Amino acid sequence: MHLIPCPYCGERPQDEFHYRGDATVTRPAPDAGEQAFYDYVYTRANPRGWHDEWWHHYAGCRQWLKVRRNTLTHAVAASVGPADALPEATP
Amino acid sequence: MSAPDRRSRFPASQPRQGGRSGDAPLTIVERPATLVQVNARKGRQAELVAAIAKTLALALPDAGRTATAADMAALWLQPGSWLIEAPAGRRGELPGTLAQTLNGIAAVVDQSHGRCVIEISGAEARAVLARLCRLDLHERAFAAGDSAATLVGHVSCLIHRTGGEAPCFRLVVGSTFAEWLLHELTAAAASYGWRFTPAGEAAA
Ligand SMILES: [Zn+2]
Repeated sequence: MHLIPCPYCGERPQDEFHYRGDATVTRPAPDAGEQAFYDYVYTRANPRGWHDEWWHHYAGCRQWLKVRRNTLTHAVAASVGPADALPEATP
Repeated sequence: MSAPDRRSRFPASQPRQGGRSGDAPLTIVERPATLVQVNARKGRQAELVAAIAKTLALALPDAGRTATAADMAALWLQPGSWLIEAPAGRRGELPGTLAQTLNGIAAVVDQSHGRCVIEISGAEARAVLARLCRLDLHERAFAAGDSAATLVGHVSCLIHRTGGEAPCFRLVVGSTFAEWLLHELTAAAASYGWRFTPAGEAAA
């Protein structure tokens, strides 16, 4: 059982969550051009290691969370509410 | 046969029992209630807390907790949002009263028809829930007054432990999932036995 710490509910099983994608992408400026928007929508890195991700705690507090997860080990270093920032770096 | 109880999510149901006949059957009772969800509007949470304290004498609880006062309870749902549980007899009046009192402070949604409250108790209530729910519901981890939104038998539920010595849990579930959840509960309790009482048949 993979446990994900929710900043509101505490540690919860992964099946209470939906993975909602990369939390590092930011919307380009309206005039940034077609390629920038193509990358924003479709182009994703596939990191081996720490990755900041959106997880939706759909069966708990219904909040969208930012979770820093290690894609290699599934370790979770931090999780915060949708409007909060994850810590700068994870060793 | 009496007329179907329109407050019940199991309108065709009569009290029934099943499973193995043991010493500690699971008791499953449908508890009709007035359920009102209140969501604080942006930046108005402190006013909501104050207004609920004043009008209902309820202190809106922190995450994972419930608060009770007289015959009412408040359950934490998510940041800025709570579910108020009151006796079924207040369905006609409480949602409107709250909507009026909290106008501009909170969104008020009557969930009395959208949710069903199922109470389960008995010495093996925890063992039965352990077959359906991944949370640790042991006394040391989930004491009286604790609550959690989670999955029970793959169904989204708000589960809370009511006061008292004996294990007693209330499950707030979407009305259309109530039959399914009942089926899951009776299947999980088959090795202990179970008794089910729909609303209307239960003592008030
Ligand atoms: Zn949560």
